[in-house]
Amino acid sequence: MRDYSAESGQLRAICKGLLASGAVELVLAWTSGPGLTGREAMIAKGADQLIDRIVWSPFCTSSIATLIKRNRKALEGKNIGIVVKDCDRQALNVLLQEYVIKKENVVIIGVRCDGLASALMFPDATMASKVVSDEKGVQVDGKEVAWEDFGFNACLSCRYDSMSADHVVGEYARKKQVTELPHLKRLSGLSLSGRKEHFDALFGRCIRCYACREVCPVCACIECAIDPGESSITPRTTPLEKTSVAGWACRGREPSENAVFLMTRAMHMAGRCVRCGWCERACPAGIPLMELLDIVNENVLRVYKYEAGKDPAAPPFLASFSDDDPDDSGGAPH
Amino acid sequence: MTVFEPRIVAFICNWCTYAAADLAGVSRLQYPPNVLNIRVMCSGRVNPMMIIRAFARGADGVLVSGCHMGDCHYIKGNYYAKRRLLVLKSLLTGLGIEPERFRVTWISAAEAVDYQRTMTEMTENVRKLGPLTLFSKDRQVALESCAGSEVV
Repeated sequence: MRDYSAESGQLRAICKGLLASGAVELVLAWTSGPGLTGREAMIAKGADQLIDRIVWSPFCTSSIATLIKRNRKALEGKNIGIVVKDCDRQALNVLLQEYVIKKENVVIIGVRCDGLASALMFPDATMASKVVSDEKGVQVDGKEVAWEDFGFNACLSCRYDSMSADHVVGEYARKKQVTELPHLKRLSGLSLSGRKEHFDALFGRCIRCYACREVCPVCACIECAIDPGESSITPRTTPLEKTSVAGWACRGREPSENAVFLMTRAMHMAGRCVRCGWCERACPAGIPLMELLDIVNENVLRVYKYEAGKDPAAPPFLASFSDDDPDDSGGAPH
Repeated sequence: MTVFEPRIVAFICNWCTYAAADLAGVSRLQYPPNVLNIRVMCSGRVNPMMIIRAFARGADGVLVSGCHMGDCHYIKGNYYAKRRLLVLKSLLTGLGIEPERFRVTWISAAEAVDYQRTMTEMTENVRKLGPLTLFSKDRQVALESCAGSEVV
């Protein structure tokens, strides 16, 4: 049985100590809000009110690593303490790999995570509610909900069972079983045309709000391939207009752009996606994005033996190659 | 009844496969006119987005062809391309696009016959598969927009 108020207390003490000693200028952590859900915040020394609200529970569903990419400029060169759960820890490694932040600038405070939970299942709970969890599920003020019932696929198929950090809080209470991913199993049971139909329907639901990109902790490019907004090239674009836009990289108004966007994102996530599932939880259209990403993830893991964020010193997956890379040029000459 | 003619988009590298296409031309080797060759400086320059967009905008098959491993004009562009494009291929197959619709080949400047064979094979394979049906509605809109009608 894990008592999250006790763990939050430990976390608070660590953060307070780091800030007081001057080891870090800022601490990135979750703070308790009006409800159960923890919200990410950047906390500076002296902000005692905020420090006292630092919290850790399965309701801290956001990724703290996202704060780093959002505040890239502001955090540059500063020493920061960052509170990470297992998947955020992995995402942090990807950011270190890609030089978004420097290793010597971060103090990592890891919290061992058993899975995340949705605050929507506990409508009556407040920030003062008592949150505990065990192997079966999460209890808030005595009301228990099983892990499976939150429907967070990424957490149910989570593989991370060790935490390496400068400070660690909490112990695992749920055994993480590495099993075959259920959605991939379902997909591989479908025929090619069945899969086409399935994804055609999913792509049709996308409203291109780009929430998946915004919340993704590792989607950290300064300039994004899909950004140059309204400047798509159509047959009616004048030559003068064409000179001012970045051609093929633009986002068009046609519905086929949904598919282009989602597939391109899945491609850009190759060797980066840490399977935190934050995009899937953030998607307002309810698209099971992990299905799409896991097709790529599984291939990268199985064929190239590359696990995203495993080694912060390794070169990024798509920016490197090996002589052993498979080549199925399909009957290419010689 | 109209016969289905596949549209194949081929991204070919300037130093090897484009030269092979050139050689095929001067050697009077015939290959299907369904193939639209797009010359790029290196297979490593081919962004996966270009391929995805080609499919979304009406291509029934896409081919990327560069130099053989070790022969790249830019030393290692095709190595990067190989990793990137084969991951893309796994994604396309996962989405239900037949693997024959997307091919990555390596054809050197001297291999005009291989170039001819690859293009013919590709066209015939895709002709057998028929038009791509993923995002079919969207493709229709995209094609209409190319024809100059109103796009929503």
